[in-house]
Amino acid sequence: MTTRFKHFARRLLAIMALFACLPALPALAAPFEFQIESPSVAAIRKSLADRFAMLGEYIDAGVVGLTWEGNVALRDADGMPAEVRKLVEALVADENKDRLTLIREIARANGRPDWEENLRYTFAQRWIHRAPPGWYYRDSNGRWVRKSAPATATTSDSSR
Amino acid sequence: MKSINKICTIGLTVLMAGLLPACGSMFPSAPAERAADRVLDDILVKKPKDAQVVKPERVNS
Repeated sequence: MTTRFKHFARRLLAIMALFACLPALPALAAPFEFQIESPSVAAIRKSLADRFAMLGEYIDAGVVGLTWEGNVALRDADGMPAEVRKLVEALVADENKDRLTLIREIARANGRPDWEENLRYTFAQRWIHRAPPGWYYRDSNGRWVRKSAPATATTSDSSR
Repeated sequence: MKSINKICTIGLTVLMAGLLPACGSMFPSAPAERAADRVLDDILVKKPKDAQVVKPERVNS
């Protein structure tokens, strides 16, 4: 009886040890990387890069800011001529459409459409984190925050 | 007693194997951050310093 129990306990421990090692297996394998080179993703990346040549100037000027959801939004258009405002609004709308499609296509290209929301959040946080000083972003409370220096930021004004 | 051992062993193995899919569905945050960085690098590198953009005077000052 005692011998049988010891035998069982030993086997049980061996199985538990085996499964305890399983979480470490991915680390032993090649590190996972998201594929962002698929034709559909590459086309959107090019579109984003091309648009940023113009949109970036408005972001630098504080007219447009990033949002915590991963989009861009018109922040301050006071005193802006109607035709310019219309142009910026069109840029913002096109940018948001591309960003939405970009994340969806990356999730789909990597066979995990269920990761879309996590990807969107991660991209949003990463882009805000890497935004240079002077850029604005809208936090989850709807407040516009101006990035002042690395790792610090100051609240500037309330949301519109 | 021997058959009970076998049943317990098989049962435990099946139970733990059932937990494996949960490990596979965990979202890889670090690779996602690296992907975001790659996309962002792509965008920022293409930004020309002298882009011709019409901006309101108030913003430029």
